Amino acid sequence: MLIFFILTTLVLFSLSFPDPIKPLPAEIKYDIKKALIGKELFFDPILSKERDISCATCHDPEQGGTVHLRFSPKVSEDLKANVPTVFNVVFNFRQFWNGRAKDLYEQAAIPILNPSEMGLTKEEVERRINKSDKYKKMFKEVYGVDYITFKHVIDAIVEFERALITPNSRFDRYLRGEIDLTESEKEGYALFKKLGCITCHNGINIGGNSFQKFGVVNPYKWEPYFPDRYKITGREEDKNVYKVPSLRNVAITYPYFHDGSAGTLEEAVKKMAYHQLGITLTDEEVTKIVDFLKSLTGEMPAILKR
Amino acid sequence: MLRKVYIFSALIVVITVLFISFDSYTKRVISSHERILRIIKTIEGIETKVDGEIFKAGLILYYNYDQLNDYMEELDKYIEMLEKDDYLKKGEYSDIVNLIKVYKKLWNKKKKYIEDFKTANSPIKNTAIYLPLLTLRYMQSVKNISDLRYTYMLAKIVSSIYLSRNAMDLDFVLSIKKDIETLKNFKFKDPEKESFNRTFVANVYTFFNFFDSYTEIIKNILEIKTRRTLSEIEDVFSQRFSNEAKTISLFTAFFTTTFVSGVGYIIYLLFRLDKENKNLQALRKTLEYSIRHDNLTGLPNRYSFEEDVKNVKNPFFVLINIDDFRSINDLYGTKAGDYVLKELADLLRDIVPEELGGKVYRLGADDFGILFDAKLEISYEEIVNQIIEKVENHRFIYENNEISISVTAGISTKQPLIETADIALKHSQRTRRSKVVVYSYEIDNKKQIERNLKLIRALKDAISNDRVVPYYQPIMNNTTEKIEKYEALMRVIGDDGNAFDVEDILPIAKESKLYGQLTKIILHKTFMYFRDKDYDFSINISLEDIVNKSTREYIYAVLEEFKDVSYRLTFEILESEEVKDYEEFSSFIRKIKEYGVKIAIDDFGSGYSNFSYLINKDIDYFKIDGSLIKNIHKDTNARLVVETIVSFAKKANIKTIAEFVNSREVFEAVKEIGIDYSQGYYVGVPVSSL
Repeated sequence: MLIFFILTTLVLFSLSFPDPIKPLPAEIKYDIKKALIGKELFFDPILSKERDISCATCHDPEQGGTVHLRFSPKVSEDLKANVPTVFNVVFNFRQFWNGRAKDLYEQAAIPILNPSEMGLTKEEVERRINKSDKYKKMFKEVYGVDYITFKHVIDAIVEFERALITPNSRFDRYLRGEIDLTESEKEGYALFKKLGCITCHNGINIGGNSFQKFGVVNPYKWEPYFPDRYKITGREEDKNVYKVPSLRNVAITYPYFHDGSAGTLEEAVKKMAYHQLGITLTDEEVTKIVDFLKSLTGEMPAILKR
Repeated sequence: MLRKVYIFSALIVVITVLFISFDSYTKRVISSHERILRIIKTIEGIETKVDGEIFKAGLILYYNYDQLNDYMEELDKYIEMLEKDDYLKKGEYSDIVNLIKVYKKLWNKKKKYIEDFKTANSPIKNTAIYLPLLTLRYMQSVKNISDLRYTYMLAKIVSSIYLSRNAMDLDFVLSIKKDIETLKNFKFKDPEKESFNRTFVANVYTFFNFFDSYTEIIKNILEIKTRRTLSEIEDVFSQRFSNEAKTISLFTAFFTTTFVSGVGYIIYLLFRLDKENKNLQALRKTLEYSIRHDNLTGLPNRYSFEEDVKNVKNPFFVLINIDDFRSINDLYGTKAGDYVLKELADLLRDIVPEELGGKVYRLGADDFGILFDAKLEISYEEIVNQIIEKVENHRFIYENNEISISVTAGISTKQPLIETADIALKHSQRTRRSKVVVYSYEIDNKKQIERNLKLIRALKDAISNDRVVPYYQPIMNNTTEKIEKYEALMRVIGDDGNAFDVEDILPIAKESKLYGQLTKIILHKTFMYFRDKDYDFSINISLEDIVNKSTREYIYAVLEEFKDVSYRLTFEILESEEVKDYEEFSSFIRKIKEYGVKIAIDDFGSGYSNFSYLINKDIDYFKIDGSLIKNIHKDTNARLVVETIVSFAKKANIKTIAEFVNSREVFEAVKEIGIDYSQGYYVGVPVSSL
């Protein structure tokens, strides 16, 4: 009984720390004029070689800022990845699954210049944009420049991406004390913490602030085309190490994982429990956690309504 | 002096320019150093925070990595600030720049360790917390804990993992390696227990897998020399600053010295100026005092008096002069004179009543003044008399000689006070009637003299321009009522054609010796006028004419020249004139009688004199004074006097003439009384020609 008592105390002790998740701010500072140019560019296929896709093709606001496909439609043989959502990216500590971009400026340029994605050069981007009367006028007005550089283009897109936050989810409002969650949601959150999900999915984006191994207890299969840290460091232990994805809007950003291998939340939760904890959750536990995860869906970014 | 000012100004400008450039250099150096040190300190602070966050991340189960990430990003920004700082781009700071590069490299390495730490920390923490939870779950699910040994081993492993995690000690891990092997080989009939055991073992192995690298990473984080590099940067930089501070303090010393000596020099100049000022002020005071005061007596002087007078509303001024002061000097010497003056000054100061606000001045050699602001109810003249009495009773004792003085005073209340009081004083000295004389216009010769001079000029002018002319007034015989004679009356005509008042002219003429001339002119003109006429005529002469030899001789000459006319002439002589030289007078009378000239006593009854008796026998007419005649028809007293005169005249065989017969009533009265002749406006006004 003594052991029982000690163990209970240890668990309770661990639970008694303050909330590790912060709500999103209702608004974020950004330059609305620049962001509106960025919005124009974001939806404009002018930025792809064959003028067939735009940023929004893979980061569709209607599909939770991603696309409901296992992999990005434009992939190469040596790199396949599920598309991370563009929502709330400003709060991620790195960009891409393996964090190879330190910020949005680095990130935004990569798909445009990637031959297997949009496939343009900086020069081509500048040529195309400077040919457009619409953009010339817009940039002149906001940036005061006669010649639009690649940097200007990226800057505008980044400014738009900064605006893409999804505030006022049920959970955020619960954190702010505005509403109460359902019993199931609350129990789901308790499980989320108790099971240790929170040790990786924490912070304002409930994830997106550290690199973690997928398959800690029970290893996950590894494929050479996975977008993991190994691609960058070359260290054996970095295989299947990814930036922890944000769980914000997770209910609408299916399929899940770097390889899009989980089609539903239930599946994703179960796989996580197995690979990261080595346990099999009961259906009841899964339902509760999924209920909690669904409460993380926020409002559509205000700038999209303009 | 001016050159000194220029040099000094130029020096000040040079030093100011130097100081300003030095100041901006110092400010730049100090602010740059401060800025850079602040950045270094901030970096140090952030790194401490980062380490703190790492500690927290390890300790707190539900740790939020956001804060750690934010600090790391912030630190990157500060390193960038340091790299971009212009101040460090100077060549002399290349070692610092290199050190910063080293730090950045180390920091980037540390960042990598931190990412690894995060990756290891989550599963370590998770398993550490998950294992007890798992054990708890096992105990909850298995109601009947039959296998005590298994349960004991679970608890042992859990507590060892806790210990090893918190102690960072691999030894504990090694100690449970055997137990976990045992656990691994446990066989269960119950598939649920079997599954639990597998999970538990997998979790423990997870812990083992990460714990090696976990302790390694923490060791790396702890051992990385970022902080040491940072403090090295700080040390080198501070050292460099102390070198620059030496230059600054050298300059500061220079400026301080310059400033202090400048201030010192200014203070010295101020002192000197102040001293000179004080000397000047003292000199001014002495000068002012001596300007206002008399050296000998110490009394306020004339200058002081003139100033004081301005502030006095009703001045009452006394000017006191020592009578015959010169004789004191002559008799006892000037020292005695000075002594008397001093003594008198003291005396006056003592006896002039202070309560009346009298102030004593020395105004001249032996002239003292006393100025009062007069009040209505006080008799100042009496006060002056008392002062004089006291002064004259005072005995001045000089070297055993007793000196007494007498004084005379002039009083005035009219501006200019000194002048008017002096006039009064002079008047007093002249007349010797009183010791004190109050100034009035009457005694003021000055005014008189002015008027007299004007009259004399006019008179002379009239004489030389033949504007002295006789007018003739008829005299009527009362019995026949016929004009028998005329009196010649002198008229002096001014250049404006108006006649002067003879009453004004005559005293002036007498004083200025012009009188004789006038007499001569009238005499000659009248003779010329009447020589071929059938009337008697009279001319006024005075005793002065008789006394004056020239006039007298002239009269004789005229009488001689107009021998045929002279018997018709009557000389009118004023009754009031007093004869001094009887002999002369008698001889004149005798002489003119030879020519048949008659004599009338003019203004008879107006006064008394001796000569009426002297020449009693020679008098032909009494001209009865006009004041007795003009109201005779109604004034009974006058009539009585006139009747007496007429009665006396008749007995003495002297004819009478009434003057001022200006009306019929007067004429009737004089006729009735028995006066022989009448003269006046009733009879006829004076005319220049008949």
